[in-house]
Amino acid sequence: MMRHPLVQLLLVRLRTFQREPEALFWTFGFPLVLTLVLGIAFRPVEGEPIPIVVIEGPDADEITARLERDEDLAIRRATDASEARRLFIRGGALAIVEGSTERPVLHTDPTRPESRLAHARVERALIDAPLAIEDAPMREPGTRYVDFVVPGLVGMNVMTVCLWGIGWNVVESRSKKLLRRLAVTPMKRRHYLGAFLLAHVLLVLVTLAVVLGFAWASFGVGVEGRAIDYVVIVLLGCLAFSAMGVLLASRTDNVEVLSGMVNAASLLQLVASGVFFSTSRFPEWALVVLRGLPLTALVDALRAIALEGRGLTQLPVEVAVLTAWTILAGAIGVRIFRWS
Amino acid sequence: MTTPAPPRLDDSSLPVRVRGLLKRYGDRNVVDGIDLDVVHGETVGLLGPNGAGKTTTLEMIQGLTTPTAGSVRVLGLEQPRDREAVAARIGVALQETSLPDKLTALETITLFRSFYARGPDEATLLRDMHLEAHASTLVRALSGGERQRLALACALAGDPELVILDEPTTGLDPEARHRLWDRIEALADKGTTVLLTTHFMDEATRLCDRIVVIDRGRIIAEGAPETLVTAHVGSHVVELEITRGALSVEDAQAIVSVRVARLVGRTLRLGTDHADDVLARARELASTKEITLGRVAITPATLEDVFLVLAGRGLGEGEPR
Repeated sequence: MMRHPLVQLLLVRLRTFQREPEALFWTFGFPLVLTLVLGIAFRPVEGEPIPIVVIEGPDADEITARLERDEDLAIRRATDASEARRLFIRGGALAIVEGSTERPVLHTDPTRPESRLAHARVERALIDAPLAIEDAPMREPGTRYVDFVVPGLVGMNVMTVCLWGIGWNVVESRSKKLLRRLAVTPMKRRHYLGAFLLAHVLLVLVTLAVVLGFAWASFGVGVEGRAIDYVVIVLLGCLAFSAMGVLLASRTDNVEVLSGMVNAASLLQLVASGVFFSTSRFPEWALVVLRGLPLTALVDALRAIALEGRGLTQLPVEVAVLTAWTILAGAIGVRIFRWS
Repeated sequence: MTTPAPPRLDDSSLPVRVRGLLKRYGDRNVVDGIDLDVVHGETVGLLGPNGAGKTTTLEMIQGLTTPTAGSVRVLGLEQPRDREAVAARIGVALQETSLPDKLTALETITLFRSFYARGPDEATLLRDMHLEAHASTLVRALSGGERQRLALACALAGDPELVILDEPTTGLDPEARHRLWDRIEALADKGTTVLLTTHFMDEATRLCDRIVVIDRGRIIAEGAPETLVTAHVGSHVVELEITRGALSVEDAQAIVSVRVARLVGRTLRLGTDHADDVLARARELASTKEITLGRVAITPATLEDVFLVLAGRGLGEGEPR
């Protein structure tokens, strides 16, 4: 068993990885740091006051008194318009109020959602008899940004681990003539590529456990659907990106050429596949194209399982896209693969 | 030279049988019509400067490169068609082999051993290459000589019938070269067939039963090392450094018993079987022509001289472009 060439080739991959501390960090540490940073930056804000500036004038006291009836507004006074403007620019104010109680002037930035919110709150407070509305906040897991972004990060990680891990090692082995050396042994070529695939399946499963465990422990991010469906989709993604890695690494012996190709492939998908932000801003025709990208399929499927609790059978398009990439990229990559 | 080899009864199962081998890259024939036979138990060296076509010839024998024309049979099998079957029966150490540098020596040998159905165990391979002490040393921490011995151990992992070594000692210090030569000789003593390339004449002389001199993709001479030297140069070389005046190659060639004359820089190199006579006559000639001689020496003729005579330039001078 241990002497089987596939096992030995797998050991080469795992030992090479384990003896490279930087690779360990970038594979396991980086997604954690990213989850943490994004989780904190986009954490749900509760009760954070909306800063409002009132410019000094005859009615300033009355205006301030009315605004203070809304506990979510934090009022500051500014001696003149230029001071108020300075506060606004630096983020210390979302709205500026001046003028009289009869004809108040309200400065807000209509392109910023939070400034528009401030406009509405100020308007309501300045009217003498505000409506009594009962607040029913939505705060349960599943609706927050961190819940949205974790499946994206998992997908991104599958992509980078497979593209870089396979691409870099294959091209480096080719440039150092190790591939050529292996090609004059009776080693089965499917064992060589199979070992890469197995090694990356293991790596991806470990990073999946680490990232999901971390996201669950720190932010309570969970998976609504079945865990096994989530894992199956991750494995399908791993196959698709491994095939793509073999394809990108199939000809060149120059690591810089490879870097360019991997960067192009992965950055394009990072932007277009909705890892960090919803793709709903793209026009309809573009979405049709984007749904064909493996990262889109992977991330969409993971979100459907994690956030909406859907099952594998309800995701035929995503499964088909990932399978098609595996077969096409893999077949072409193996066919044109250069050993020397 | 394209003299056909004498017919042999077991031609079809020779370790190496190459006919009319040609490889063209662009408009240049890197290998330009090579016929080569290697018989069982023989150590054959392809000798030539860098760019002569030695490595390309080996690649075609290994089945890595498809010839433009000609045929390659290895151990009775046809290359590159039977590449996998051939790979199971040959062992290869490539020029400046790069083994995975984050594996230990033992892990590397275990990896290569796993590709072959039969062969010595890992401990034997390490011991035969004097690497027992480095079993758990990472490849990147091995010296150049140790790494080359490890490459040789990997080449032997499948108990090969034919071992192919491309420039085995290039880049090694003299001590490491001698240790590697010992290992290669031990291999040959066991009856393994060895085909190697080198551009070091001392390496070729020491290791090879037969030398094939290659220049610009063609075989320009072939034979046992001593035979080649005596056939093309003579037993000795008389070296005359000319510090003042001029002695032409033609004048030198005219000296009785001089077989070949070459001018290398300011030094005349005269190949002969009667070195003392030649030296005495050369001194007479110098005094009549008012030529001042600097350093004068008589050295045994070497393969370097053979190459100089046949190719018109030194082994280290490479392929003119």
